[in-house]
Amino acid sequence: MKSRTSLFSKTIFIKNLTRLWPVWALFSLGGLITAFASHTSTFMRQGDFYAITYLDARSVYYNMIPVGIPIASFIMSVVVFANVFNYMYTTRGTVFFHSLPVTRNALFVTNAVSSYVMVVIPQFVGWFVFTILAITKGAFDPKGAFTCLYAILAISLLMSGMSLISAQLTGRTSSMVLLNISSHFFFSVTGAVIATFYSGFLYGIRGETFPAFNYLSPIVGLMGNIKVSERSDYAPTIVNGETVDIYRILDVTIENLSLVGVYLIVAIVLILVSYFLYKARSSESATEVVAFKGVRPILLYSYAVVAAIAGAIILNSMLDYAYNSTYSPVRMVFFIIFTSLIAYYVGKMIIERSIRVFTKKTMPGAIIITVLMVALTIVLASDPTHKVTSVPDVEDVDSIIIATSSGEFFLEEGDEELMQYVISTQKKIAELGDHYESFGENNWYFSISFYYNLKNGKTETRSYDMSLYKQYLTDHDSLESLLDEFVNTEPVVEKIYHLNGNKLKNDCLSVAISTGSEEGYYYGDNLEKGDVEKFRSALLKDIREKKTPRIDIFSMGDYNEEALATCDFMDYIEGDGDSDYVYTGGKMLLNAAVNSYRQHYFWGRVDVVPEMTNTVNLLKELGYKLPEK
Amino acid sequence: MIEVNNLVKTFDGFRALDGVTLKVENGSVYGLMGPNGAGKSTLIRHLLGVYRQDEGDVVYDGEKVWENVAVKSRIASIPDDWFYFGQATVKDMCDIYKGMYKTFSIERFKALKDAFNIEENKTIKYLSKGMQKQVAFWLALSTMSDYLILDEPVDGLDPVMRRRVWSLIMDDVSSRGTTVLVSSHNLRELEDVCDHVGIMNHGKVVLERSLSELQDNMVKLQVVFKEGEEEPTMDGIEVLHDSLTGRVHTMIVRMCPESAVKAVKKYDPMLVEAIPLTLEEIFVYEMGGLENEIKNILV
Repeated sequence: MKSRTSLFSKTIFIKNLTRLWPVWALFSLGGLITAFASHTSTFMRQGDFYAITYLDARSVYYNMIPVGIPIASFIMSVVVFANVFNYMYTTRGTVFFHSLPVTRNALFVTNAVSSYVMVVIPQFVGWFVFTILAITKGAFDPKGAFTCLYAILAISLLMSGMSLISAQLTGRTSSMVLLNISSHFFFSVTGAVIATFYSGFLYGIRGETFPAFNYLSPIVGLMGNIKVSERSDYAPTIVNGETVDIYRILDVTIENLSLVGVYLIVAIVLILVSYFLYKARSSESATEVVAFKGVRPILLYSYAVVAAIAGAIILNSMLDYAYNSTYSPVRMVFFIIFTSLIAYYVGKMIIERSIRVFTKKTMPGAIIITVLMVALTIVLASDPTHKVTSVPDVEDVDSIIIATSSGEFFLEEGDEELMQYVISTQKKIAELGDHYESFGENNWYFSISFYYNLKNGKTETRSYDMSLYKQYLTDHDSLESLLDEFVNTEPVVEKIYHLNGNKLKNDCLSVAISTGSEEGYYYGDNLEKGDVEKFRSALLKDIREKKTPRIDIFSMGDYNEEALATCDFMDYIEGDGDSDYVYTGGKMLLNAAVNSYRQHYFWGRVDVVPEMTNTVNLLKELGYKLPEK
Repeated sequence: MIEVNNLVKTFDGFRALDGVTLKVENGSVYGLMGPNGAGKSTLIRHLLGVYRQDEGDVVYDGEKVWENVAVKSRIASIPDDWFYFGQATVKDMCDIYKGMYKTFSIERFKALKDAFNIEENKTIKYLSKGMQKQVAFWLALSTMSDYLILDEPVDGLDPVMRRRVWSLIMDDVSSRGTTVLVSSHNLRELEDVCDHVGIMNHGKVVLERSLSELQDNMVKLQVVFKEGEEEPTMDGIEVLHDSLTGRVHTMIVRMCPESAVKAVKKYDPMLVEAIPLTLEEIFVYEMGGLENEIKNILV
């Protein structure tokens, strides 16, 4: 009796598609609506008097790749694979399917293919309908259409691969769905949690990230790295006898599309691994949380470590009444012991499906994870790489953005001497250590951030939140005297007010006139371009004639009762990018700004006090009625 | 023929099957009995190619069942908990069986409709447990398979339907030579249909006999000897049990009924009468050393 085997079961394929038709039909309807919505919005943007071009279609196709396709295929794959492979999670299901005259190979292939088809169908429907619409509008774009189709097939395969491997590793529908969903974000969340924990011990280090972790989380990887850019202008067009400026796309480009190819290879690897897992998987693993014993400790420790760190961070934020900006190592060691034990035993309970996990057998695991986490905490707290006090060499620095609560300023090529001063000041702040305590009557909050844009394209950021005490201002070695001297050093003052020859270009300068009382200010217009230059000259003159008051580090950014007027100014530097502009309150790093945006904006403010006669007189000349003080 | 050779299966260190060996001849009905947890369902899942054994073999007519489509296409099964898709109707499940089993007979399916009297377009999950079991039988019998593997098959069926189902199965056995292996924890359930029985306990087949062999070799005799005469020693007759009520001896004798009556008559009794033993009684007296195992399946 020679057995004839096939790698595909038509019966099961048809059964999968027919029994789950409401799922893919509903999603297809969603795809149709999305396609119509995309097209309609494009059409409406252009107006019914202006025919869309193939570039409008390309824009729609490309913009589906980083967001729409990953999210749609992710949701579909979670739903479909959980339904199709659901039989593996019950004894009755496995007995039924594995007793049928079909090999495990054929079962795997058929179920995987039918699930993949169902993931693709709704997206294909959307793509197809939009393509037909584009053709009827004479805007068909083969390049965009095929790129989009390739992305649908490849990204869907990736999501299917991830669902498949989750399905094989687990023995319950709930654990399959949870593993599937969490695997899409696990590494990204892990990176963020570890970065938060790591930088929490390091005074001044904030916003550290591990970009490599994001690539391991496909949705985050795709959404964060594939970028679509449009170049456009407004073209004068005659409509109904009148000339109207019509928005026109000149070019649409997509960056990092090769990432889809990389994920396609990953998908193939995942599917192959899943195939071998399915073959190795025992039918009796149905109802287990994790189907393979060897995988249990890997999942247990991976999730427990992340949960323990996240728990310790949350616990610290809940119980840290002093609001320190950096973690207390002793307190965090205590927290991490507590959260490690909880994470380990909760994980053990879930995997073992029992609350009776406090046994001698589980003790070594609890000890291992606790010791490891305490060791990690101690190592990170000791700053082995001396990152806290390390500062860049001025030769390596391309530019620096310094942000305080009263504005931002920018140092660039030609400011090397000032850069060195800024770097040494930042080093001294770091060496003096964490000065952040509860805000009280005798101390003042002060924050300063240094964004170093290095010549090698990398960036370094140092942000300090601190409490300042007026009584230490006269102490030469104090943080207070250091900061006071820094913000009142004449070249720094000129930079704070965006003066002294840097490449910043003014966008606007608005004048708010004091009402002369505590009621505040009323707002005047923006100054004309020529008046802005006059204002800058007057302000520079006041600085050099020592007529500007000392900048008070204890009240930077606060309402100044002495001020006759407050002038806010917005300046920018030119970038090389296509996008219009960016302003992110100093958090935007300049390299990214230069690469991606046309302008990067900096904000600043000056309080005009009566002693600043040059500026006061100019404002009066310009017609502003300043209050008498 | 189904052959199971020294089958071993271990779950987390627990030996669920501990060297099971049995044979089921083609065209026979084999009753697999044993208490709960004896390993019957585990053995059946190996017979269906669902579980992979740690040691030993499961072969059908010399072919291993594991991942063997040709062998599996000759086996229909009814597990203790039959699977159907959540929204499936009888017709939907029929389509699956029809697609999977080349021998599936739609004529048989239609013919059996009267026997089960269930609408084809009924959603299975809304049927009672007993009716769901009937659907399982309906479909399994329609596959026209050579082998029927049944795990606690008639649980949930009413007495009339049990009789009808067994009648259909026995028709297949007699007309098509279908080989049936049926498990139960209830010996009385199977004594009317099985021609071979195996008793499992603690993952082993502790006894395997043909029913005729058992019944032909043991008989219950009721004997009354003449008043005043000395009762004979019954030399040459293996008496497994002897009880006396008044003057009536009730003997369980290991001999065929005819020989036993003939042998007793030598002692000139007033009365000797052979009474057939129930399967239950045969097991009780046959398995002196296995009393616990027997007790469990006689409950």
